Amino acid sequence: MPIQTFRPMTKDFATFDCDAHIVEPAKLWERAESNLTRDELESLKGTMWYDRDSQQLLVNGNADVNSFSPIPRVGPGIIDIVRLAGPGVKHDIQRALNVRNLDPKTALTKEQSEYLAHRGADEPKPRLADMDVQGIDQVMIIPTSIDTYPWLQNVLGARAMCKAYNDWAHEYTLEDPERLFFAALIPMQNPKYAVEEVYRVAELGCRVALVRPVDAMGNYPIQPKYEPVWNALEDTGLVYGMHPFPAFGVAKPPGYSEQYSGAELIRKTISSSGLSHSFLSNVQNFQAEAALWVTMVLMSGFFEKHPKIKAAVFEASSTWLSFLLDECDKTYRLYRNDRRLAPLKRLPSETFRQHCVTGFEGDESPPSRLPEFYGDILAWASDVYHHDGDDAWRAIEMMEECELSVDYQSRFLGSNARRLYNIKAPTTIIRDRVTEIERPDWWPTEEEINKSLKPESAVRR
Amino acid sequence: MITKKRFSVFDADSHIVEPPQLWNEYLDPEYRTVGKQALWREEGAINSYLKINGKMFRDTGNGNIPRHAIWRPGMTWDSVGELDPDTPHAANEGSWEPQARLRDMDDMGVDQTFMYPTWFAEGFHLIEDPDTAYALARAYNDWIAEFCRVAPDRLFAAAMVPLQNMDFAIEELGRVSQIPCFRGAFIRPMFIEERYFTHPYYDPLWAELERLDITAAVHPTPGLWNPEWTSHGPFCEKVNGRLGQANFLSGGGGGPFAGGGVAERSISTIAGAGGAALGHPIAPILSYWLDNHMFVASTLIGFTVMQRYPDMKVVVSHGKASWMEEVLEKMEASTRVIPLVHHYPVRTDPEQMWDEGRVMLGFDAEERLIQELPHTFEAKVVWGSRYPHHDTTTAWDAIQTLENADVEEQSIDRMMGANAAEQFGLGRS
Repeated sequence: MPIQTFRPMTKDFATFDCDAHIVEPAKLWERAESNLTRDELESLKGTMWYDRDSQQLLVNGNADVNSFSPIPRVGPGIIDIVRLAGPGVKHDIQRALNVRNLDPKTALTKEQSEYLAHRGADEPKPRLADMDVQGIDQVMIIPTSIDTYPWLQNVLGARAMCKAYNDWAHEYTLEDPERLFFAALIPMQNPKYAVEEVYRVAELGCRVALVRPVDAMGNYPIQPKYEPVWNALEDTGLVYGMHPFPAFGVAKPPGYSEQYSGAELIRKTISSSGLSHSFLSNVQNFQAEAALWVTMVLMSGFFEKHPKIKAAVFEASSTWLSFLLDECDKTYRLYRNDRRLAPLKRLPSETFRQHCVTGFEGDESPPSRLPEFYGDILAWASDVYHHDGDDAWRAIEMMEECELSVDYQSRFLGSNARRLYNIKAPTTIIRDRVTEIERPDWWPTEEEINKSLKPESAVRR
Repeated sequence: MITKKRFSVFDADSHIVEPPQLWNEYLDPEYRTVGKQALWREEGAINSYLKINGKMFRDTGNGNIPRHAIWRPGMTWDSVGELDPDTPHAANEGSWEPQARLRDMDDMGVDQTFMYPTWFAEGFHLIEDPDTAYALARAYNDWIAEFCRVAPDRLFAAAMVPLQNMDFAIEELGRVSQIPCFRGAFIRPMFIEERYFTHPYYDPLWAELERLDITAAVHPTPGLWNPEWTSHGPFCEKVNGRLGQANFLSGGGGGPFAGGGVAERSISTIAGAGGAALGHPIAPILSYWLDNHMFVASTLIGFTVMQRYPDMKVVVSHGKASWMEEVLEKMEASTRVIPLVHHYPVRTDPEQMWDEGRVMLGFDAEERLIQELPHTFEAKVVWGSRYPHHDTTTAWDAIQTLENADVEEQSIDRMMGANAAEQFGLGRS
């Protein structure tokens, strides 16, 4: 049996992973059958439903528009990219596996594919075991089908889906309430229902309400009609969780041709090129949505109107923030007399610091070069189990390369997020890195990995 | 405030504003009517708009303050913000008159400058008729060449290239390559004919730029006069319009009355067109860097233009530079974790490729990451004043800012002058 080894590392602080994912599992819908009312269940079936017979997720009555499967998507030559980044499944290893899949003779077998689909994406016990290896003491779990929810057409169905998800996610966290936390889905299709769900999940102990900053059906979450939702966040103390995503747009209604996200443009650079390519999936999509939302709330005085709201900007990197806040300040000064809304009481950058925390992942180094700027506003995320995810040890390695002090490391990796969510550190802390993982015989060797990194090795012929 | 420097400053990003005589005198007579149909800027006493392909895109901002050309020496961002919005303010004549511009350059501490268009930047790439686009490109290039002749060692320009027909584009590139003032070919990072620069259609352009040693002068615009799907700006402004939008018919919620149209067309808009509730656009905060970021990530790196044309020089202006490291890190990860579907080799070491490449990014002296890591950026950035935009910065201000951040003079020299002079194929003045 090959042994995958890692450099020994230690830490003396508790990490908080502010944005890791589960994949909405089949169990969510199974559970809903017995927990939702008959009316809720009927609307859910027509809106977003896992059909056991066909093993397909039905969205708005259409089959399989969502590529994230409620059961692990496994089989010969298949990698379930949203259940992939478990302990030690580093990016270079994924490259080697992706190269194998280019050739039917070397493609992954069904068993290998199953090995890589981590159960922790669906179930709490295996997740907790993975967290121990990954140096993750606490985690905020976030769903995966983020590009689907804004497009759920039936308002009652959207409400039922949020309830079904939130109740399932709450149960997931009960496995270890000191370590597992969930961010709630909110039915933004209808402000009244959104308010009701905010209060309902707050009763469950939820700390975050997720809102995707997109203009699906014209419902960008800056419209005045959402004021009651923001009032509810203030009243309950739930954090406004702003989570962007690549804009695949597969759940758009037929004939809807308007742009709903800046991220659609990066998709279009691919789709209009006439060339196969997908490397851009993780580049700019998130930033385009997050930066627009940050700009809108800061320039409009959103937080001055709702002074008790705290917000988390998830999964969008944070390097851009180092100049975007300055640009907002500059623009406010330049347009001071042209502004039609009430003057801001403080500059946009000051408001951001008072109200927001922004996420970053372990491979993003610039924020660690500017600790004084990011000091209290930066919170780490693993993005596990999505394929680009990685563990806390990787983030610490990067911070050490940047010569970041342990004090800042502990703030970025844990205490900033805990302060935002008002969560205590766990009683027991992971201190030592697991340095060896036993792997199956087919695990890529160093030689194979190095060979796979050559550009020519990855060309589809 | 500093008043002396020991190096020459090359302003890699300033603008002209196209005057009516460009159309009336420089456009071939046979194209004057159709040329004004294809692209025209109307500056009226009451109405101002940009016309593209016969369609009118109205100004949505305050017409009393022409922010694309309002700055004059001595103005600060705060003094611009304090201008009376109810009183008409004149545009700076340095944006179309070379002697006035040279005086301003002297005042700003700018020794040489590279000039981009204003209205052509916003509309030229969208012109549908290739023959008219070619005629307008020649007119623009002839007008600005004459502008530059007033001070040939100080004034340089980006040439307009009719990308609508690549044969025409190559011809015009050949012509302008013989005219000394042209040190770059203007490329706005946007979708043209529903396609992006990732399309193989543009391969002959990259090859010709590389062969002629003409710099690809990439410069975005806010897209305030453009339709959706062309660049980041129009969508930003649609969202800006949502700020004042209330639904009277549905009481909120999704569906056909949720406001799923552009803000101007919504039946339920309280305050009217995009940005009306706020009072000003937000696209200038976002679109410049998002458009540049997308061009670099998609075209230069992802679709391997930088890899396949390693000797092509590129300057990507007016959109910050701090984001570059993060793009390279994300691209490196993407080459590993994304399932492989491409049919051509893609380098997996984007940071190495970036170091080796001949691409430079426009930067602002205020960018704190560059202040913190000058040695990381000093070989890859060029400074631009944005003159005469409302957010113009003088060279003196920029140098002072960098000095205050303890950036060494040698690094400042490279970032403020030497890099751009080299990238645009010029000696120091």
